[in-house]
Amino acid sequence: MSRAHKHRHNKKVGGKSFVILPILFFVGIFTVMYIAIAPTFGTLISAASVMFSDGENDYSTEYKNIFVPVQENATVETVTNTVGEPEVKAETVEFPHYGNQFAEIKIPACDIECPLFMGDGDVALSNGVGIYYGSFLPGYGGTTLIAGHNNTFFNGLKYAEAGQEIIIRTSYGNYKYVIRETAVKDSLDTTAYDLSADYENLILYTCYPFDEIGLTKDRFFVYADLVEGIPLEKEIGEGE
Amino acid sequence: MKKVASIFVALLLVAVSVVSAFAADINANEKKVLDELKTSVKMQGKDMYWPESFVNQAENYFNTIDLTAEQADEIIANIKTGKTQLEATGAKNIADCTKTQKKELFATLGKGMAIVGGTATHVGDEITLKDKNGEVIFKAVPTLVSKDGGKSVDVNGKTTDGGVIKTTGASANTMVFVVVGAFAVLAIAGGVFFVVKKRG
Repeated sequence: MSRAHKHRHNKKVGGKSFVILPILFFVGIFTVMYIAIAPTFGTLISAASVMFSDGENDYSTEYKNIFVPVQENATVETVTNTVGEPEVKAETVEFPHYGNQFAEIKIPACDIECPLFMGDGDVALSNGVGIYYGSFLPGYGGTTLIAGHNNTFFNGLKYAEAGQEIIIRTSYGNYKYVIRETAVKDSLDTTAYDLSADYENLILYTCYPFDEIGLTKDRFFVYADLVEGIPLEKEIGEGE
Repeated sequence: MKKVASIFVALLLVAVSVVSAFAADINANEKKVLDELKTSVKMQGKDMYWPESFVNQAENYFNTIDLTAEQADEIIANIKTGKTQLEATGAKNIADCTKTQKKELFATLGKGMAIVGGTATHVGDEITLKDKNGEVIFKAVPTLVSKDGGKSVDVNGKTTDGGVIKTTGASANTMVFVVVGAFAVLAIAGGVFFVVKKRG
């Protein structure tokens, strides 16, 4: 092939092809995977879902921290309820606003120890784990639903087993739970939690499988019961 | 001596009064509002309710403030107005209301928030409620739910970030890796193409 011919050949395939073909290649690869091998390559599909998500995320590290740990042997101010049991005096409790860090959670057997936020928005889940704002605080006597990322703070949940302890330290007291069971459920399965429960119960969850990134369909749930900790006073006050 | 004693008592009273007391627990006024939120609204003759998660969020917000009796009465009157408006729409749910009806409902909501110094804004059907400090206390596309549909019915409604259960499979770092990875694939593909063509 002569030099002139070679030059003409390069000119013919150059230019736009260097831009268009790689893009076509990239889009083509993802399309083929999505259509043909979606079940097998869930990770890539979910990663692509994250890329093309139109949600606005806030990964700020600025938040208000109101957590002042209560020492192990310290006593908190209590009142006696109608059945003679102690309750943490509500007036002494600074109830967290949405987005506040107010506690920390520890699961020794799973090597988990991280900040606990009120609310499970982007900021909370980037800096720790968060309580769904439509559920309640530990000690409140209802469901506490806590979310965390599977590749960061809640990655250790893969070691969760029945009988292990979960400790939540707040500014108004320390609470100890014991894991009752674990389960993998669909993220849209509303039977996975009961937000109207009138008894103390703790639910932790993260995306499943644990090593998958992106928008997974399943969640790994950990259900635990309270075994130690003073309930918060819920006696109705007089109001102003 | 009496003077010293009275000064001591006065100081003691001051000390007691400055012991930190937070706007805490649900007082009787707030309980009345929560009870009102839990009552049904008839949509096309069917009892519909606010999702439990919405009511719980109101309860969590009330734990951070102290609602007066006057404020509670105004809010309850506001909720009742909203229910009357909803029932008059003839729609099956909030999503089925006309733009004008939604506008009226939103105006009622705005008046309700003003009672506690808060604000209500919306982008499309998504409502954002902020407290008097400008902090977001609620953000969702409002809906009503039925409680007679058995366990398969979502009684919690859908919030804009996917409902009660969040996406917990990707953090900020993960997303950066994915995006960088995608660009890397493009760069490698382009590079290989360039080299092959140059040699050819």
